[in-house]
Amino acid sequence: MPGFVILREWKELFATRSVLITNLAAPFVILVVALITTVFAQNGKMEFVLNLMKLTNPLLNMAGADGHIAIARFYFLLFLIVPAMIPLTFATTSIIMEKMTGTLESVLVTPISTKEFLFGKVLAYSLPSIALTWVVQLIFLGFIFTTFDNASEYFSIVFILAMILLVPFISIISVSLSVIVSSKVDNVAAAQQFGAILVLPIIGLAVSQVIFLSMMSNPVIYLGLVTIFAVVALILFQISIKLFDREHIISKWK
Amino acid sequence: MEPAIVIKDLKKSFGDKKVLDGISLTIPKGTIFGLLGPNGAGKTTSLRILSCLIEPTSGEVTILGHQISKNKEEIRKKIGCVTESPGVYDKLSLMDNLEFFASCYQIPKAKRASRIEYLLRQFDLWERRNDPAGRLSKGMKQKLSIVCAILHDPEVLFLDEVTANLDPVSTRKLKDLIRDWAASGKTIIFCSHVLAEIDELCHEFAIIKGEVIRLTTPQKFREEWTTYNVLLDVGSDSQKSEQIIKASEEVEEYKRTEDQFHLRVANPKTSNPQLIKKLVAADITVNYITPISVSLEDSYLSLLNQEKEAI
Repeated sequence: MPGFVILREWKELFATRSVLITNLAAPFVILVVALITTVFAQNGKMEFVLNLMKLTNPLLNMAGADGHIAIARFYFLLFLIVPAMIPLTFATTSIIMEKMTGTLESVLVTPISTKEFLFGKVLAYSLPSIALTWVVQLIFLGFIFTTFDNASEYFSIVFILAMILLVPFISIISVSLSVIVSSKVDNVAAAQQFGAILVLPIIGLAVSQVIFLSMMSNPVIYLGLVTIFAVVALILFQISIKLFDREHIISKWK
Repeated sequence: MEPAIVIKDLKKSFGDKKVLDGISLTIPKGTIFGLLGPNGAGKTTSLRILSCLIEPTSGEVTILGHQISKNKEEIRKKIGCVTESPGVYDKLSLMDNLEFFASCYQIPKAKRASRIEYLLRQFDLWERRNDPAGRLSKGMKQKLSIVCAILHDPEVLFLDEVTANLDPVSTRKLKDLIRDWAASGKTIIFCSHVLAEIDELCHEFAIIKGEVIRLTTPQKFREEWTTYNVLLDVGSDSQKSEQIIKASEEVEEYKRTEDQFHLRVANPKTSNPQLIKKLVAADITVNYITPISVSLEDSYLSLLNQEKEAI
């Protein structure tokens, strides 16, 4: 377990508080918006929001009087963007900066293995985003179940479990993709551009899953998706180790 | 002497570009070995292969009995590498940097604290141990990167332009340390563009330009490029002096500039007293006679010019 790599990454993260706070604030902003929208929708004060959402989500049309809970469910799924977005931003920058400052070379001459080094980075950026998403999910669930009597109709145990289990896998997929990008491009600018471009499809994927899942109620589909994401995460992590080409990064990056 | 590093027909290409074209070297243990060459000659590539950062296209390298193609992990435990740009984490304190590298080198926790303190004090960084590395001067950062690289007490140390950012006092101190390390049996591969440093420190050095174009010692190399090794200044009667010099069997070659003579003698220690005796016997005033030698830099530049002309 590369605890020392994780610790070092976290110490560096804490040293750049402004970037850290900005990124950590994002999920809480989504949470606040989710809470406000749900409460206002319940009180019938945000009918226009509900109508807008009905356009993108047919389930809401069926929800009728339970529209506000359906909105809550939509936001609950939207939290899945957090584990995709946060680690991707940090991990890409982290590898780029290590090359720019020469630390990557200093580390790679030590006996640390590529797997240990990358696993440390993946965990360093995944763990906080996973914890953060779970905290946000938990707060939101607490609100839903204490506010709405019929919450369990829309938030079944299997659904909640699936959404919670998806978080680490989405996070690992995100970091692994950022490592793959960092390994294959040959300069810092391209790495940053690719990193940014990669964020969009991942968010797109997460959002499409949100909409897709919000229309489904079959537990088998939820668990099936969790399994697929787990397999994809594992494969991508293995690929990222294989593609993390020390030589390419050391000798070709400008 | 037992070899620390054996390089056999090492080749490296990046795409179509051939950087190393068959380098072979044997570097004994306890040696300070210099690596010289013009920009793009393959010094950095060689060091990167030796420090297991990149793979050779062909050829084999053995470090401390371990083949680089088969046992990188074992080699990495025994080598240290310092590059020109200090690879330290700017946002972390010196202690955090060293703790991290100590973990990378798998130094037992019980030994870490004392080792870190010893090295920080040795490099005059102890007082700054809790400061972020980013606040250090370039020279201090360089010292920190050296400390990071020698934390695990490596048997082979690769130093690439390490003195570039150091002040004269620190440079002197580092040179003394390098000599001490070599005296204790460690092998140092020293890359520098400052030829006076190679001259001062290295037991042996190689000039590379894709391949090894010269493998020699600083003294032999200087001698090779020295045409005249003695300077003689006579007070008067330089014509009479020239006749004596011309007839003297100790002098192989000479060049006269007014009252001064540049001489090439086989052995200045034995030839100079003989020559002085002859001149004094002929009533010639000898102002001074002194050995002269070309610098390593002059010799190096002469060799590169010769190579260029040959092409």
